[in-house]
Amino acid sequence: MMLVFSDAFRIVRSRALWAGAAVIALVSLYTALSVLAQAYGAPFPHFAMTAGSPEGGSETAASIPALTGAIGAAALGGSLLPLVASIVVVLIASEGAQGGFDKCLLSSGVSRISLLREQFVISVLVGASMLAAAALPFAVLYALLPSPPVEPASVAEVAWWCGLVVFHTALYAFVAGLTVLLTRRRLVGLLCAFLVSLGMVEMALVALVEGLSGATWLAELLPRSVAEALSTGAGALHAPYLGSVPLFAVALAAYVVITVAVGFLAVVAYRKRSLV
Amino acid sequence: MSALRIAGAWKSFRKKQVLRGLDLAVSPGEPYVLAGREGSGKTIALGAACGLVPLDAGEVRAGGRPLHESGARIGAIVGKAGVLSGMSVRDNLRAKAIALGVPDVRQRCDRLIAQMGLQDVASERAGRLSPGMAKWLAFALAFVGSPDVFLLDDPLTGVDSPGKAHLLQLLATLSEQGVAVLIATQEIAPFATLASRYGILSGGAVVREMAASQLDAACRSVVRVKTSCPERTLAQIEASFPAAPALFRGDGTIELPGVKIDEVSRALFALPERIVELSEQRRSADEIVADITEGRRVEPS
Repeated sequence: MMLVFSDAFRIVRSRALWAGAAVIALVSLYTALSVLAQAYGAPFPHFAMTAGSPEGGSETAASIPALTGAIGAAALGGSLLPLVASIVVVLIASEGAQGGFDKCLLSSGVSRISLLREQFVISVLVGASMLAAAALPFAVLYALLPSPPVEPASVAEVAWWCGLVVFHTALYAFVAGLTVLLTRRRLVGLLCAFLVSLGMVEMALVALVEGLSGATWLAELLPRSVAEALSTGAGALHAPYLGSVPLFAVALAAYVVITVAVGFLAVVAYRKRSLV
Repeated sequence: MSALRIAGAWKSFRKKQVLRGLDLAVSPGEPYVLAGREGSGKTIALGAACGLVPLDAGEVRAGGRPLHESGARIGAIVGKAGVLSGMSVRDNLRAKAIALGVPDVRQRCDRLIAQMGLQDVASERAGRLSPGMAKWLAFALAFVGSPDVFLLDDPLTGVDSPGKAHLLQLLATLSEQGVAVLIATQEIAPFATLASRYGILSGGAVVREMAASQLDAACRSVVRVKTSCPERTLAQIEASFPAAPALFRGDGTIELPGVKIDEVSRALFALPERIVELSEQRRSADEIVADITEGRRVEPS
């Protein structure tokens, strides 16, 4: 638990986190403005801020996606969230690795397993921060709308959806952070962040498996495909995804299995590694 | 019971054997100096002692229990010090203190900042510190968890003279408080006032352990002789002083510990060789270490 507090303390003071959040917030703001401008017509801000505007304001507003759908499309659609979060985690992890902070903790009695777990916690914290940065511009602009679109999902579903988006983002960031922990090289971590979060590794894996066995279901289970479905918003959580299995169950199962597998491989690689 | 014990430690890297059955034990409150040349395995030994280097064979115990189960608080500076360059000095300390579950973090960090003389730079980013100040931050980071065992790899490198005295005083205070201190170094002379025991590391194993008093005895006067024919002089000396370990140096100088200069003078009186040098001097602790490392006897049998 202490490591979590320490991680939070470190992350909040990391410039990488704030830079990453700023990039996401700006992209998100631009996307939000574009969406609203498209719906209301330019100049959007003047039109939208005029409360109770009669010129078909409510009809136009109906074409605006619900809040989670809009955030999902902006944050997950182009892999923005996983990419930026992975880069932020690589920068945080490489600062720790280059200065020897991880070794410093290990030599003070912190176990290697705890350190790997800590890497995941860092990824989750960064993922959550990035989602917050992506959501903030949408939330503010939607709050200013005279007739904001109704969110079809319940509060619990929205919370679930946020959790899954953070899990999805953290998974990519975790892989990139582990790469730094294992190789102690920032460049390798950055390369990994790009290759993994832009889906190149998944595409190669799918191509390989399809080529060898002809199985096409694997692509549906990979995080990138699941995220595509998630990007439509919290309302889609209960929609059937694979056969009759709801999306949230598939997403949760896929993310847990992949995280455990990645964690297991990391433990195997890191357990006997000399760190002097 | 030992605060730290390394038993039968073997470690190799890519077929190069670095530790070969290393055994050493440090008691609570004992300042132990592990001396050896570059490449003798000092850093790997310290790394093994704090769990950074998993062993191929052998074990590390702290407080009588396997290291990973012991819950021992270990403070170590082995390799990089764990400084987060983007954070301030104070935040570096706080981040580690929080991670280790130190109670009353703020007070502990403020006290360490004062103890290490870091008050003026406490709010500065660690990456901007001078190498000397960064070293003091490293010490503070190692101290922050109030360790039971303190491991230091060449701690005096990059520290100025007043700083060295201050650090030695800090280490002496720690050992008085019952903290086991294990220092790996190439030069043992600066630790003469601190160490209570020395281990000489060579080829990945401790080849000799000496109490401080034994080392002091080994450093006692030595008579140096250099003549125009060193071989004949050596034969004469060995015949005259069979109990004294005559050391034949590369430059032809013969060193004789444990004898008096006038006795040597009398023994050489009958020799026809020209005497180039006949002097009496005290050997340094580091010379003794070098002799032991090279397999030479350093004391009269």
